Amino acid sequence: MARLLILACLLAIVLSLGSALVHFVRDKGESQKMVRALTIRVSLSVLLFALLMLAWWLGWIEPHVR
Amino acid sequence: MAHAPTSTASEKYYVPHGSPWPIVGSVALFTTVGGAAMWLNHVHAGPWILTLGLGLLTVMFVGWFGVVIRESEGRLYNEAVDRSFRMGMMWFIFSEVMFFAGFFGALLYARQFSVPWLGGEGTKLMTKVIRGDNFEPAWPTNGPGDIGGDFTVIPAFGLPAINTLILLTSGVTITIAHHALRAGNRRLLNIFLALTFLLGFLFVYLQATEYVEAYTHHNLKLSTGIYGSTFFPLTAFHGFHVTIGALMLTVIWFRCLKGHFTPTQHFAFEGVAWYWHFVDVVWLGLFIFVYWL
Repeated sequence: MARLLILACLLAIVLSLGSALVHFVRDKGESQKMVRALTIRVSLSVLLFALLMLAWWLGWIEPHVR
Repeated sequence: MAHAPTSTASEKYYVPHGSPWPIVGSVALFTTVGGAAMWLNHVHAGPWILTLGLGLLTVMFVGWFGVVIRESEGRLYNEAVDRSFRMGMMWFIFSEVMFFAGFFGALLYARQFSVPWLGGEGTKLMTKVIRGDNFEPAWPTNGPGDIGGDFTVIPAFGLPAINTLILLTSGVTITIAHHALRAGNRRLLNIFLALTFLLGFLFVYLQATEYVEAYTHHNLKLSTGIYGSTFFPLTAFHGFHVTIGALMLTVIWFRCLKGHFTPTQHFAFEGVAWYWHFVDVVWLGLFIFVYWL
């Protein structure tokens, strides 16, 4: 479950980054859409890091060890 | 490093004539790679030729960037040129995505398929029987034969977690700088852009520290079987991209200090900012798949 949440969050980050690229090519700096998509991308990334730490704290995932 | 057209922009599609920089770039690349090849083959002059090549490459970058910036500020670019720049950036990014897809693909293929197969999983039981070494697949591994000797992995909570926080913070600072540029707040723009590239260089420094730690304390090397040969190319090429991104951000910062870009015309800023977000996302993927999942 935690893994799925993490992967879903990563996918949403990639999609928001892709959306920013589309606006970068199409809007030519004239709209707020690109910077808005990038703001969502950054917010989701911070959320993902927090989610990762929470999942570890709750014992749902463990980092690789050897 | 250009910026978008204005109403005073040229009517014609600008094509530069007689530029020396492409041939300088070619000679620089030839000298750099030639020097590196000689060094690898223990030719005494190798490091010197490599240094000469890198020096020439630096001269080319400074010179060519300067020309493009002057052309941009001279309003030689019209809308068609701007469209070309944006399409060029898009295809460049596509090639970058494919580049990293190859490395992530190699990592996932090794983990999910080839290593389990060597351990006899799925339909590959005979592989294990024929090999007869009783290899038990587990990740991280250097594979059957313990290639490169016993090793330990770098703990996720050490430098990797710190570096993730550094890059995430730099993602926040570049976004604040982007909003500041659009709002016309130049002071905020300059401060947060400077913070972004400084965080980028700090990341690269810590990455180098991590490599020293890996080689000296963990016996984790490029030659450490499948783990070492996927870990180092992935993280090193990412680090190389962070270095390039931080250098480009530095150039953009100097341009901002000189008053270049407007709230609606800032192609170079947008391109570099997007690139920075891209390397940030690649690191997130790397942090998750290399250290956690």
